[in-house]
Amino acid sequence: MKKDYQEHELTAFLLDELDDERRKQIAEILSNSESARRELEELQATMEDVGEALAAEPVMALGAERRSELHAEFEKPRLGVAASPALQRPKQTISLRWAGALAAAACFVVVLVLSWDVAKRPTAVSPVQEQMQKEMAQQPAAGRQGGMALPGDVIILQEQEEKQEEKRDALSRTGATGGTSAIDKVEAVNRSEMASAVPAFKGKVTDHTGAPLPGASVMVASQKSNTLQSTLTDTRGQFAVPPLPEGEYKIQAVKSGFTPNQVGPVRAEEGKTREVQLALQSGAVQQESSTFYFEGPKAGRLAPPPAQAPREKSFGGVPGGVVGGVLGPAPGGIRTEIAPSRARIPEKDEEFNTESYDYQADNEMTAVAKDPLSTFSIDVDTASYSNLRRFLREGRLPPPDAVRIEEMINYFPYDYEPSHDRTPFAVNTEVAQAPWAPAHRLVRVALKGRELPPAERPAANLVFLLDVSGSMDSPVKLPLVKQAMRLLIEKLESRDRVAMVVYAGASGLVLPSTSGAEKQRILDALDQLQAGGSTNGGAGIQLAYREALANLKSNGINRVILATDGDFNVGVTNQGELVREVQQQAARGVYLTALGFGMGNYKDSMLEKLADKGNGNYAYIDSLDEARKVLVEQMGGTLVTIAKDVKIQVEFNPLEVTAYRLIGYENRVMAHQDFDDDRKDAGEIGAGHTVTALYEVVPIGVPVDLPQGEPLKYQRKTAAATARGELLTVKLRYKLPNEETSRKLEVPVVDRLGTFAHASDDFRFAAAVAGFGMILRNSPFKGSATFQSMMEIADTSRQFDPQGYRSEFVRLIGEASRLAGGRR
Amino acid sequence: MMAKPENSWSDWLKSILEQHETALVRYACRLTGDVEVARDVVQDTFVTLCRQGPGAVEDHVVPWLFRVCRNRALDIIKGRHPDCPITEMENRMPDGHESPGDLLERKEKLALILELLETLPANQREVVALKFQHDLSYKEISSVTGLSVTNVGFLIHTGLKNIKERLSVEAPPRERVLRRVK
Repeated sequence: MKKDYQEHELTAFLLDELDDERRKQIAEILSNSESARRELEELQATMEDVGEALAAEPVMALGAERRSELHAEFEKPRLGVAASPALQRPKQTISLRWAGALAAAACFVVVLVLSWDVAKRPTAVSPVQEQMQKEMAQQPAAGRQGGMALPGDVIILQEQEEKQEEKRDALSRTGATGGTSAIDKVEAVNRSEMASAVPAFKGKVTDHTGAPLPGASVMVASQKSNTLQSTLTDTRGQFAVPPLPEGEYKIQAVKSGFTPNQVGPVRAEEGKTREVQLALQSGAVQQESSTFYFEGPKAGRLAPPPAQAPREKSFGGVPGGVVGGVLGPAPGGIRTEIAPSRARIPEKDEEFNTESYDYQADNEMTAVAKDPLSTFSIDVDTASYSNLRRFLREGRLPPPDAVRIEEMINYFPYDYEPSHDRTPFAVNTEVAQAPWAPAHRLVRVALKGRELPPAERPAANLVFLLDVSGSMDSPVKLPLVKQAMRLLIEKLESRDRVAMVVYAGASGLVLPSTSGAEKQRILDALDQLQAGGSTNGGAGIQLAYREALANLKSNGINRVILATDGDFNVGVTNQGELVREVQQQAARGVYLTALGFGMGNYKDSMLEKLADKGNGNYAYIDSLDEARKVLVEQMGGTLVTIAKDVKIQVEFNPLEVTAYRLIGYENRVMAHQDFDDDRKDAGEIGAGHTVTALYEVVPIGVPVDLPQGEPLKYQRKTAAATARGELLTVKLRYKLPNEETSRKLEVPVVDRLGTFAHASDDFRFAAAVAGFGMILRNSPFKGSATFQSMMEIADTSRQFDPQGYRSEFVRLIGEASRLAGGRR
Repeated sequence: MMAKPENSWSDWLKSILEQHETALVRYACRLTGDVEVARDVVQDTFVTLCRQGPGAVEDHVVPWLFRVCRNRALDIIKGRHPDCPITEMENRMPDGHESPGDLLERKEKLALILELLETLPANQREVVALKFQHDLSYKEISSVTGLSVTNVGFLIHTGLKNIKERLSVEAPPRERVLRRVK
């Protein structure tokens, strides 16, 4: 089971920096996972320590002299400067905002409060509750906010905005009062928040002896309004849940070292406070951990927990999205003692890595005597490089499985000679020393797709399939998607068509296919998109394909452009369905481009698979510059496929080569017989794209460790005598975009025994990228490669660098080297 | 719900000065490593505020002050030798009076944390301070530093993790603390 959150989200959770949807999800995860709670506690303790340490720094004021100078400056009359109504008198509260979310003590209790859908609740409503409901109904909704506030200190806890405002003002006092200890501040915040509005629930969390359990976080969720709030118990074990909309709620208390427990349903009333007492049995070993689920469609049934942690987003016509099943509602109305929890959730064995990357071992060194053929599909994806750049910029090394060397190499433009005849691409080869193993040869096989002037670009029929669910509500997600799409839209012409489909709470066609001449209409539709809402299983992708098919341009570009953070909920079988759907549509001529955004729940392997099956490409977009590169500079390549199902088969000459290894392309390796099988799908090459593959080759006479295995008895040295001198032959198969029969190209390669130093800049640079990738992957084949040596090679081979990517690469190596602390 | 401002512009400035001067001096000191320079920076910041007029900052005054303070501090740092010693460091620790064992241990731990904080990369150090000393939200820190909100969250977390990890490895190095306080 993969971890369903990123560690930094725990920090954001503690600091109240998550959006509602995510906060809920994290709360849910915390209630289920002992290890997550432990992590949270540790972070919390560190925050307290750091806060205290920083608060203990000496207070340094400006000094009387400077202050009086400033006062004099302030008094100078200024034209046009008057007191603005926007200026606010500072609040007098003394607190640290972040500390308010933390407990004074190191222990941690989660109290989950979940709303019951009143209509579905099977138990009888007591007369008292009925009366309360009537009263509630009579209160106008707007009256709720005002009614909550007490005179004087006004804090409306339900209004997130207001709360932030209040706390900001609270914080603004901290500078002047540096002496207060962090613990005092925490208590001050707890007290002020508790006193400021009528809590929906308050009460105490104790152990089984009745001793208070201090330090709590409270989370509130409701099926109807999708809210989930949290708070902490104070040093006396007391907690208060801010005012909630009327309804039925459940409360769960979880604490590491204790058995989680729950109470409910409990009714929340406006202006009234319910007392709730939660007692926890000590001993977490048994992990009688229960999970709260919203009431599912079949109320009253005890449904098993979902196999995956709840992801509310669903995709591809899957009727998912319902978060789990239901715990049978407790009989009777309000309960003040907690029954032992019932549902048993085994502790998950969680992995460290939260983003998902498929594990790929490096390709092995293969003896030519054993297998003289190497077959693979080309790959023009580049996402791995921008993704690892994101890691390095954030100050950490990428996980090895996130490093795909072929995607790194293919990220960079190379100055290869284009074809001069009618073939869609030119084949360039070059051989020189391998810089990390000087006795070995490095062979480059490079394809250069024919350049296509913008005027020759076929008309485009594009359907944007945009993820607008809550998790996209981050500056690096939906807003960046919009900006990226804007760039693309601006390039479109009147012969092009654009449609827009969103998926989130419900998938929908927000813009029917519209001519590129009506740019403003397209841009308006784009501007109106907003992230938000939970999700059900929208048929977003079918809708997008339907729209694309309805406007199919024969001999044109027909493409669905999917923009997402990859956080869609597809189970294993559904994932298969999704892939099949994408594959079928590709056969009808509608291809898929997948654009990955954001970093939270980034699911790399899934997007790559979708793009591959959809005859498409896949890029990770982390900045507007990257969007420009993918969508504008390479628009020809990204949108126009000039050859499809491009396969490469290399045959090595046993007279010259003992062993070989394909660097990268691990997940592109094909069975040899598939090379000539036109039914087997392979990679596409776009206009102007370059594809580079590197082989490390061990020449005859150089000793090499090879994997165990009997050599083939009859295969030795059978090559034609005339072939002596030829290192290998590159065979290529490809189809023109509108053809189904492949064409074949063959290029023999001769080793002219060149040294690495005399190799072309493109060759040397690609070698440096490969070497860097091997170091990051900690590949057993990295030989003598070091950050330093690869940086030197890259630095001296960046003359062709039209967009500055190579220079940036040199800096990235430096960054990686610094992060690795000289370890590699 | 907000109090109506019957106070004048200059009163408002004074109250803002009073509220934020120490926080800003600390922050500027962290950036410049010199308390006198930090005081200059903060004075300049308030002069800028006062010349700005109320319309320009409105209710974003806190991030505004930090941003202006930061830019001013960075201007000054650029103009001088980068390896200037951090003079304020020696003053960080309170005096070395004997304290009960627990308290001393606690103090050593806090001193160690400050020391570890100094070993973090500059961007992590800065955002950790902006969060835990100055209590800015991710969004505000983003507007002060120009980093993206996501990046801010990540850096804060990474900074915390680094401190946590090093804290658990390093037993409080007593000698170093003693050297500090003498």
